Amino acid sequence: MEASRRLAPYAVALLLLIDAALLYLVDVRGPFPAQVMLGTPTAYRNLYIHVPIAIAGYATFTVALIFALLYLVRGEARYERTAHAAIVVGVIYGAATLVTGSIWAHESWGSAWNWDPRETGIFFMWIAYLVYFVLRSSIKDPDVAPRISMSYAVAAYSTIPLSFALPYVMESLHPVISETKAFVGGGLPAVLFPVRMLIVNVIAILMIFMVRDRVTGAGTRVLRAGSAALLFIGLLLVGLYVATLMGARGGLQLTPGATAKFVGTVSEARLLEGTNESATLLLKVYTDGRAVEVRYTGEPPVKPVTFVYRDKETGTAEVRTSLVSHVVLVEGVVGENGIVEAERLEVLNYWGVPVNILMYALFVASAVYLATRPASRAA
Amino acid sequence: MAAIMVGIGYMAASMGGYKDVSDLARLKEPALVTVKGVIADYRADPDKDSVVFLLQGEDGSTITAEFSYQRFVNMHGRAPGPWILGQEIVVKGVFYPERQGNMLGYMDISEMLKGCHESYQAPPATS
Repeated sequence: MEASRRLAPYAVALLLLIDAALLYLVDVRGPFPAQVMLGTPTAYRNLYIHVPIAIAGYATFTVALIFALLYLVRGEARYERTAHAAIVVGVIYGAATLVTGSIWAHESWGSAWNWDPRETGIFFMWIAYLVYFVLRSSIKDPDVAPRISMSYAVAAYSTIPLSFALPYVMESLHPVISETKAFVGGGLPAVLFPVRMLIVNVIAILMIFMVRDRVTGAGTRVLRAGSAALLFIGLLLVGLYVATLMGARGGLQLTPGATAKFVGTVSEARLLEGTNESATLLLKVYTDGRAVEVRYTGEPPVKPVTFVYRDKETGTAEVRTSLVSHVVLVEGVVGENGIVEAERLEVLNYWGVPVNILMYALFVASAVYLATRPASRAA
Repeated sequence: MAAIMVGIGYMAASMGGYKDVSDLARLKEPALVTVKGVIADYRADPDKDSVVFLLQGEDGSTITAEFSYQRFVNMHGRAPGPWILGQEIVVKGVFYPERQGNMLGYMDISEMLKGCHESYQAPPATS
């Protein structure tokens, strides 16, 4: 028991390092649906960030329920301390779920907050667990406070199946499991999604016991180093994103021979010839309220360059080009016909992907702080 | 206590849930609503920064709903066109009832929403 307590910070630090590498992979190579209904497809890289955090929140509250019930049945203080730590970690992951979800929804749903049933359910769950802290601190009698607050923690758990079930019983912008399963069922998503899900959840569960026991000695430094590595990746990715945007500053004048450098959204894309290795594409790119024609020959910035879209309802299938809806950086020369002959065509990530990675790193850092804070400041 | 929490949570989610365009028939006064409907027709006027949709509900009743043209382009990356016809959307805004046959009234859209259910039908791609 003592050995596992000592090893936990090292295990979490290692997992945080692996997670930092995975999040870098998510940001630069994370697969997204070849076509989306709203916004840029790269926003769907948040699937690997937001969903594991949300599930980790559910998992930590489930641990809280188990230990709260154990306390109510057996009355041992260690169970109450574990349940309390699980609620502390759960509230952190709950807040992370709300923040990362809103940033993703801003792009893919059209609004950051819109009282979607599950959004409302998660918010209600989070508030219910925040009330736990108010209740616990408001009862002055140390013999009564644990029993009442643990009873409340058991009742608060009812908000979890509710928030999970809401998209199944009400109209919701949230997909249900069977819908996302089709996407994460094959290729790289079939590896990346479950691996991140596992790592985020193991980190969250181990964090509960570290918050409960508080890490001391060398474990503190190792755990903080792991958290710092995650923060570094978050800051690096946000920095790279800002640098790319700064570098995209140029101009667009559709006079023959002029150089063009601009950022826009691909509204139409046609594969003239080629394959995934090299292709000639004719694009219509929306920028500053006008559509600009762009021709590009080279390695396609999104692969596969085309895909077969099968409509579930009608059963029809058609070949579509996967660059549509992407935000791209175009650099080239305006031809005689007004078409921009692009030498560079780069897909830009949705800003919410690196920002959400940084947000996750900050929330993990706050849990690490609670696990490693000096004894005098412990609750 | 658990039952009360489930009850309150369900009620809160229900209040925030989406109604169908046809449910607007019950409204007699202007109200802030969030409804889903299918785009049956549209009229775009970039000069007036306006795109007006004819949204159809499950029972065939319709409303006209107006949105900013520029915001539409910013959100979708392209101008409204025939590609939007038949799509189901969720819109939030103030609805002004003015019933004339199947037409239930006019809505000033403040937010245009879209679920991500259909996006997961597409295969994975990467950059």
